[in-house]
Amino acid sequence: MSDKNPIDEHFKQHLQDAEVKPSSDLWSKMEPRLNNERSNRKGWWIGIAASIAFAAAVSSWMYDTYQDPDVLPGDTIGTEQPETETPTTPPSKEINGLELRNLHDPQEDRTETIANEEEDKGSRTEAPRTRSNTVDARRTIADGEERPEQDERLATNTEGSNTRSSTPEPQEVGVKVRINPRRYLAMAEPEEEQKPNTTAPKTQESAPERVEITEYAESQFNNLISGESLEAPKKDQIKWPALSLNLSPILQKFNPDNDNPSTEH
Amino acid sequence: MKLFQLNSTTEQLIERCRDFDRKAQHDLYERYAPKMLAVCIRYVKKKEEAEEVLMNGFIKIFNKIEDFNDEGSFEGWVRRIMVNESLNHIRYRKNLFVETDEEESWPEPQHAPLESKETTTALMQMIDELPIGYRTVFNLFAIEGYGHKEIADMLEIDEKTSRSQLSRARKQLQERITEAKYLYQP
Repeated sequence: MSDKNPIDEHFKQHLQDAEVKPSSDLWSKMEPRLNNERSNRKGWWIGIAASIAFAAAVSSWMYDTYQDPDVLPGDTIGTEQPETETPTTPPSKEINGLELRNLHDPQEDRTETIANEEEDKGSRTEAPRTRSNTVDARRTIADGEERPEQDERLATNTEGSNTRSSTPEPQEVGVKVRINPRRYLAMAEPEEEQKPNTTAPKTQESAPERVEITEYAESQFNNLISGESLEAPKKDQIKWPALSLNLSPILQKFNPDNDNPSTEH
Repeated sequence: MKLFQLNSTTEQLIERCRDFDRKAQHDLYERYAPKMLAVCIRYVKKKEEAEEVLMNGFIKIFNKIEDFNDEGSFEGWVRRIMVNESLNHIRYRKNLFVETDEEESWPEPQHAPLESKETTTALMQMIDELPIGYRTVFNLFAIEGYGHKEIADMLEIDEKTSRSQLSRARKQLQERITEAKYLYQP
């Protein structure tokens, strides 16, 4: 073939760099299509990032909400626990403990220290305690003298069923305004307070770790209120994530009364 | 200096187009659209269709600009894409390379270019009037500079067919040129 065909050359020379003006609106017609292509690329990544963020948000939210049941008992000690929580775990041991306690209490005069109380945690129920507190309140009004031995008083005072009063708050006997956390909480939801022992088993049926947490919190309150040194003997047994959630609201509740919030951490 | 400046800005444009810079894309479009439309229109006769092809080509260019390696000329790369788009466009015509021996497809020179000085326009029109098979092969071979082997591959035809189409195109164009000369330069 002839590589240099004159006709080819002629046309090539004139047409190779020929230009035809496109219609003026061509770019504007093309741009949205470009946009799509482009946004597809970017949108892909944006979508991935958004979904990750969304998943993170949802998971954290769900984490919080699932923590809530754990938080509540610690948060509002004794008041909300009976109702909100349906029995999930076998309450056997604790019930036994309670019964034991019940058997115990009448004859037993308590000089128990807080440590003892902590040991007995299984047997404690919130409702009885609050009730005992109210009893205490009455008692304090009635006789303001015998302060030193609170537990003893309680033991004698309380009826057999309600026997156990784990709270050493009565220390502030002379003062009418006592720093009693449960009372404040009870004020928030008074009807819960009066619940008799029937509610008690329920509370004890709740998950063991929850009991532990509330236990720990209570013991710390007791320590705080009684002014004794704070040791944390049960740290190992306590679930810390739940604790961290639990303690802060509790602290907030009690901060107005006695200001030593830092100790609980 | 000016040439260097031009080249450097082309490089910069390409770089920015790689980041999907819309302004750079527009500049690139402004720079190449007229020439590329002329390419497309040689394959796709109607201007509207050619513009459609041009748009598709530019979209492909902007999306695949990553694939352009700086070795070859950018314009050559763009032109290749445009040619491919044009061929895709006309490929749907089944009888693209049916042997068109019929003389009725021979266009009558009713409207010869009025201004002979507009050589480019005149030549464009001549190519327009070629049968599509002739036109495609002639464009690819004479103007774009592909070989018969490449053309045969691109169009999925015989190399022999490509050669024959080319020679017929030349013949027809030759006649048209002499005719035009006769008409306008008596």
